[in-house]
Amino acid sequence: MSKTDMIITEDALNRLDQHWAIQALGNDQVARALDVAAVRIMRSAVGRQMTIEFEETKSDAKVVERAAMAYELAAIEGLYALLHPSDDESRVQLRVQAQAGAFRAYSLRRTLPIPDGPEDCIFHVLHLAALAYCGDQWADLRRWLKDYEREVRPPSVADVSWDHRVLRRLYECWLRLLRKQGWDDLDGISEIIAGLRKDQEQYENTVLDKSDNAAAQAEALRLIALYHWAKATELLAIYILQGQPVGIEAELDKHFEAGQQAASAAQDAAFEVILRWLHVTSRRMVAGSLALESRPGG
Amino acid sequence: MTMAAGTEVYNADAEPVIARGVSYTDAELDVTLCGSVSHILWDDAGTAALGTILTSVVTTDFSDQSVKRVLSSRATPENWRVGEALAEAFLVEHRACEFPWPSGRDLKNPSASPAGTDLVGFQETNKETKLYRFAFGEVKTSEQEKWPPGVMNGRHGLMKQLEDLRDSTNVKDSLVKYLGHHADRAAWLPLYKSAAKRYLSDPCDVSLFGILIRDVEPKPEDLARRAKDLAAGCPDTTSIELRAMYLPRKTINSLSERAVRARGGDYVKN
Repeated sequence: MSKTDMIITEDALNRLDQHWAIQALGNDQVARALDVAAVRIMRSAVGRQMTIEFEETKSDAKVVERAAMAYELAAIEGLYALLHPSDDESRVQLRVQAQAGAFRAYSLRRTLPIPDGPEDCIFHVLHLAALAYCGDQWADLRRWLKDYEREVRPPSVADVSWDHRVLRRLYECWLRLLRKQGWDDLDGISEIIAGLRKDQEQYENTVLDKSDNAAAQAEALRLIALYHWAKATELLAIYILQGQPVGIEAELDKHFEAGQQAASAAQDAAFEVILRWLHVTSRRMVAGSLALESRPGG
Repeated sequence: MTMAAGTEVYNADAEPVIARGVSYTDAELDVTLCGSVSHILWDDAGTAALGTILTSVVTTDFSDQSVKRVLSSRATPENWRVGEALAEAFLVEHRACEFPWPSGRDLKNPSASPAGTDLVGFQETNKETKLYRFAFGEVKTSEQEKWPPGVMNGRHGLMKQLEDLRDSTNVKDSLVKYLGHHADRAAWLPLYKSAAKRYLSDPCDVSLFGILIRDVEPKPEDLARRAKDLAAGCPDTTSIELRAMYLPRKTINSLSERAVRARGGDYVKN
């Protein structure tokens, strides 16, 4: 992991290890998980050039997952404070906890296998990206995305239902936002979302016409959540390119919160959780973009 | 307490899995529909939130025409939704469970992201020390004259769902994190922490419930074989309870109508 990404202090990590979720897992399990992840990262970096003496056991994969989960719970506890920073000491502590928890969860989860199914893969990558941004590991994430370029590429939208088409296209937009391969790459985001608006009339009713009224309503709510996510994505891309609109934070809050509310009403837990993470990620991107001096016209 | 525990009609336990069949009279069902179920099924806060969600669509620059049409249509709860509310009421009133959200808000999206269960909440396992653990419930409603009914089997059947919850952490992890996102400042935060500590220490330390709502003749064949199958791989710290709730014959297809009338409304068939 690059030193330049690292702004999480040793003190914050030590304090994090006293959190109830980490304590519940036990120090031995946590230490083992961190060792396993560190060796996996080292092995992937050095390839066959060097042999590292370390034997993984059958249960190590689970141990890494459990530890990542515990650190993520600690991060979740401080997510609100990270999203809405304040000088209040307890809120500052929670914000630091969120960053340190996300940093640890990211460093563990990045060593887990990428799921095969298109939707599982999308959720895995977006989740990992959000942890990276909250844990100040965005540069390491870019390298990870490059290393796994083939595995994480956007799945085809041919022959998929409208909601999956929107999800897959939005995933493509977020890959562009995360890998930062130049202005043209970012410029394409607005076109993708404009294309979705154009396609809506043609495809939307095919997923809404259901005989079960409750299922149709749930689908409608899920689409509303996707539309809010699309709008937030479009605004974020424009902001990164042009530095406008000025009140971008409020706009992102509005659309991500409405999206979460719709996903929650559709009882789509995984989708709601991903929107929560991407909400914080978008705000971190804006904060990072503000500090960027190379913005055209900026 | 307004929901009766029912009259036990068979015991198909297969250690450590508890599997019981219980029957309900028409009068007991009426009392439950008017009381416990009514509170769960009619989620006024959820209905109000729908209005706000709907008006927000226009700000996304996507058309709101079709979603508006679908969401504005009058929604009478499906019969299976009432069945699910019956199961939830039983678990709350007789198994010390608490569910942060009413299942009435659950719209059951079949294409939802692959993480979910009908009921997710907490079960108090020690009243004095206030110890809790996570409770996950799957509910199926069937009027099929077949023992066991088809809803017990297959990829989305009750058995597969319970086996997944028993053997895999995927769904449970997602739901524990989901609750974590909502726990901040919630009244149930202490319950969450208590349950999450236990879960992190041992992901098998959970309560699983499989509830079958029926309106046919009670027969142990509904649960007996399934209880044995679930018992075969049940970790020591996981508790599994199967319960078949037998309503009076031929009542499932009028559950929705009865629930609407119990609330004092006019029933309109979807």
